[in-house]
Amino acid sequence: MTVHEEVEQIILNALNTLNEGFNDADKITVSTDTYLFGKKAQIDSLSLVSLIVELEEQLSEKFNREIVLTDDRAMTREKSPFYNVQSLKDYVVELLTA
Amino acid sequence: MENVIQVVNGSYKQNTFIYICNAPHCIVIDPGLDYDPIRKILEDNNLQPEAIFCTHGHFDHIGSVSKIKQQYNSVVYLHSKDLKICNSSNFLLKVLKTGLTIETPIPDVLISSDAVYQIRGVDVHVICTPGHTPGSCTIRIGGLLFTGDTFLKTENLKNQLPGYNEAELQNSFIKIFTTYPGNFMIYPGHGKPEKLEVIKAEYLIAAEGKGKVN
Repeated sequence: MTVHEEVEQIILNALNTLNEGFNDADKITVSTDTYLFGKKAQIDSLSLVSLIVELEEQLSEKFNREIVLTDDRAMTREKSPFYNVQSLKDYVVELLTA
Repeated sequence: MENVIQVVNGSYKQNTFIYICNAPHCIVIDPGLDYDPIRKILEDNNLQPEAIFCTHGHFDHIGSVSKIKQQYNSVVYLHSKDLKICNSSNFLLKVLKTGLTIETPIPDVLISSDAVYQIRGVDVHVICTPGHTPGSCTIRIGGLLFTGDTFLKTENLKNQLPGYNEAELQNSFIKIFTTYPGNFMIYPGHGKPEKLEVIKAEYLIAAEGKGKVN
């Protein structure tokens, strides 16, 4: 499995876990196209915060190094890494390969 | 002039406290998102902040830290366990759709356990009271307790953010209630100052309702 695939799997698993906690009416379709932030966001702000914090822990454990997704590096980018699963995956891979 | 000046910051109604040690020297506790009213009070009273104590790392309590530090060269104190929350400030401000950003502060002193710091002849006690966040602290100066968000209502949005720990918070309540006399004053992060005995009575009533007190 490539790093891209591993990261994608971790994000989708975390999103699925989050989804399990939602009421039936709030459940979302989880895929690489799932919108996380912005006007099209399919999850609310607090769910996004929970997801990102959970991902930081899981990614740090998996790759045996501290992965910080919420610092000012992420916030100063022109396009938010949190826009959808794909952009988040790309950002994580970028951090891992930097 | 009173020893303590309260400044209520913008939309989060967060309290910044300015404690005058020995004029013009003062300590700023939790400088929030609105720098202008804090700056005005400091300038109007010709005050020099020697130190900035952050009760915890949430953005509404640290929003003006960098500006004060740059202006006055103040020493910034924050618990090490809240450094990550502090560094996530702009992320939280963004996802919570505040439209605000801050200059993320860099603490000079990372607190790791209960400690006493002497600032211009005043003993400033830092008491670890985790729960609201992992690194939440209460700042005690004499009979004054600056408790940050430790006594924030449970249902508050900020008690739903990662890092909140109900069990730790309960232990922190007990630590405060059993250590300090009822006539000590609580200066909370939001709302009005109140005597500890009043806060304790409210807590006991609430805990009884939840079945936490026999």
